[in-house]
Amino acid sequence: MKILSVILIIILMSFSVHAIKISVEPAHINLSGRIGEKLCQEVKVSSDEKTIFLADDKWSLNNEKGNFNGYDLTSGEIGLATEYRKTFSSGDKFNFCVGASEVGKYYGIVLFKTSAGNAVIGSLVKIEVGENKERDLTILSGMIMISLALCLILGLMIYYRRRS
Amino acid sequence: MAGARQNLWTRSSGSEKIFKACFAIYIMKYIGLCAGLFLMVCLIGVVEAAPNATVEVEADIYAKPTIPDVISIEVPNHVYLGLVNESDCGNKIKVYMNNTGNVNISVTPVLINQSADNIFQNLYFQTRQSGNLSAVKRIGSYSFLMEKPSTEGGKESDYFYMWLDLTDYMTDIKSNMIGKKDNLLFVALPR
Repeated sequence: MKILSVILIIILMSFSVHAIKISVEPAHINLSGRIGEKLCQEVKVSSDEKTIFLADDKWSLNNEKGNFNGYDLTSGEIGLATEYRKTFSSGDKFNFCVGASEVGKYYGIVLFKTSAGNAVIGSLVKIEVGENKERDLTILSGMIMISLALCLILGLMIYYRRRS
Repeated sequence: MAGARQNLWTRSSGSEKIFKACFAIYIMKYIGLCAGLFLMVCLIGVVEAAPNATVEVEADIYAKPTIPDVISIEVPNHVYLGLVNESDCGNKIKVYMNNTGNVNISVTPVLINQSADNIFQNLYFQTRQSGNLSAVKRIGSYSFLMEKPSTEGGKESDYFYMWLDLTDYMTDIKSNMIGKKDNLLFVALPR
């Protein structure tokens, strides 16, 4: 009975020796742009075993510097729209794209979980979104045009009143 | 005879003078040519060097290859925690991990099944058994920090301790749970 237990333990211990290797490149994704702009970064995931990767993203308003438990928001909760494939095979390259509706700094992680095994690996994401200058210029030029039109109407009204 | 000799000498002296004169002209021409050539070379040198007083240098320079930062880990597929009795503490199991990327990482163990009655909520961790890193932490509040390999393409191996402590587990275990399993994820992030 003892011998059987020892053999069983050895068999179970041998399972713990087996390991899976997974990699993500790049480890840091730094993007910057303007409101509404689609910001993208090419990412590559690989493994030494044939596996399917499942992707997900989590966010924070503070720089958590890799503290996993600090990333507890979804992209929608902080006004971000993400766009990327959710499943990959080992060696696949894909574009991770994100757009923001508000000015600010956003901190997040893109996680890749192997379908088999218990390893999850992630890249740190940092996004800086600034004012949209083109939109501001459009608004400014629109306001100038409206002001000029109002002045013209006022001038015409004064002119016709004096004539009459 | 003497007159003839004198005459010969006089004649000889005259031709010598002509010869000397010709030789002198030849030498002067030669010197003049050499001087002219020397002057030309000097002038070319001055004209070539004068504009910037610089020397053109040439070398083949190779840019340092840009190595992207890569996060890469090796984690065990299965960890056997041994036999644990009800209201007792299991043995500390050494769990090895390898950092095979080129960035420092933090590894956080996370349970997929987060329900409070999950027996594996009683997993505890410790980086070292003594010293600064000996704090015991429960799952959910533990992260394991790993340095990047010292050489490019190398492997940094490190370990921590993990065990199941059922001393505070209040739920009554009615029957043996042989081969009880749950999915524990090791989340690796750059730091």
